[in-house]
Amino acid sequence: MTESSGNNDNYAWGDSFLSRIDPRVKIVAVAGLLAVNLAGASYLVSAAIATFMALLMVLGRIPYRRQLLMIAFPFTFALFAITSQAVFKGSDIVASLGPFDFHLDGFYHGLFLALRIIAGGLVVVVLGVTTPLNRLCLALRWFRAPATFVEVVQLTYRYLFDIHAEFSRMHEAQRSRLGWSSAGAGLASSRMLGGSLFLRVYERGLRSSEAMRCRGAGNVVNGTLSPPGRLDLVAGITVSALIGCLIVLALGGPA
Amino acid sequence: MHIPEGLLPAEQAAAWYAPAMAFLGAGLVGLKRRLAVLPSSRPLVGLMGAFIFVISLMPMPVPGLGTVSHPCGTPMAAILLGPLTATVLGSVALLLQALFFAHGGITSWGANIISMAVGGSFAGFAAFKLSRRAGLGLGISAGMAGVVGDLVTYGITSFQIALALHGDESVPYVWGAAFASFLPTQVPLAIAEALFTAGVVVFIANQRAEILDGALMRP
Repeated sequence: MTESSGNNDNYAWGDSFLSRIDPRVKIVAVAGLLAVNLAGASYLVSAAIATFMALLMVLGRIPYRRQLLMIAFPFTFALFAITSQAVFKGSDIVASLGPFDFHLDGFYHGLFLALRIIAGGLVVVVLGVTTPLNRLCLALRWFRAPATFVEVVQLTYRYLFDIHAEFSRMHEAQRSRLGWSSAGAGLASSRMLGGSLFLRVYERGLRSSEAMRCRGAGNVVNGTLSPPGRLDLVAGITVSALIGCLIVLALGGPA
Repeated sequence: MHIPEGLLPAEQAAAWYAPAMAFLGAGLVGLKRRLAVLPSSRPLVGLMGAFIFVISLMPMPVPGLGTVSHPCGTPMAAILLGPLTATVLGSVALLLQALFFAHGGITSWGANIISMAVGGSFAGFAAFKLSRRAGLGLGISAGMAGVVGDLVTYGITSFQIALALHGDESVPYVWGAAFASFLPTQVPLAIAEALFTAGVVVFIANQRAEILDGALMRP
């Protein structure tokens, strides 16, 4: 889990053009695309957004395994949307299974929802994978997000790595001493393990927090974002043009 | 289970955002005050946020629905830090999960905050307090918080899904169907969450009682 998060940041700090785009530009672009995706309520709009984001993922050389992992959750929910709409919506029955009737018009509406979920999921994925959390926090502060909120985001992110490190250490220690005798024994010890993990990470955090305070570390994110450059301008214009086209499509295209 | 990006219609997404931001704002005001008075509580705050992130990212497939359910973690945070602070931590965990794993979403963040961060925290905390008032022990009360917070979270999520996907059926019918579909996986998960919450809270009480907030622990 945290390893994956770490990989996220490793990629996000990489040399892809997507990673170099100013996070403020990305946040505005993501907000615009998500708003159009929801408010547009059109197959074409969601399909265009999904295609654009998929293209960005390929051009940005986001590893395929990472792409598949991140799209897995929206994809399962897209299937759920298709099934539920086929059952709950429409009047044109095409098949029956026990108490459930499947409707063609509901199925089509489910497909639209699935497309909207995948398009929205891809937009969030691209933002998450290509933006280091520290830069995202700086951008949030630039947009006047409350300092306490940004601090909690950073604290939570940082403790994920501490939990991962302590859990790995305890897991290895237990395996080398006892092995995993049975599922029952594992379950019985999980509460004690959970408590021990909690206290170990807490004490480690307390020590580093005190050390940081002694060194004069502030509570809120440090650093500044450099002014937007040419790449940011190009990215902003491209996404603005895309959003403009999508709005025209939503207003005039088929619903 | 978190509602993904794009599932909710725009007006419902906006409607869930309004109360979610009110709870989040109130939680942030309280947390800011807490951190100013007690700077040493930062590690506990960060740790609980990370715990919620990890616990609510343990997926278990729901047969027939094609989606997953998971424990929440917010009831335990509410016992240790209070329900409003737990709301902030749950909200942050949901935001990070959306960004790192597309588990949840940005426009559905408000709805997810209401179900997991607000519902799980407040219902769990209320169950804990009521159990303590009824004279139950710390472990059993914490366990009650785990089970109630977990099931209330899924009740609210099922309602949100029913509201968004009821189609031509009535909302109560789809709500009932969605909640019933979650029960085969959610009941064992709620019991597991109860055992875990009880175990961790009792362990902390035995080993490092000073971490526990006396005011929160009192009946």
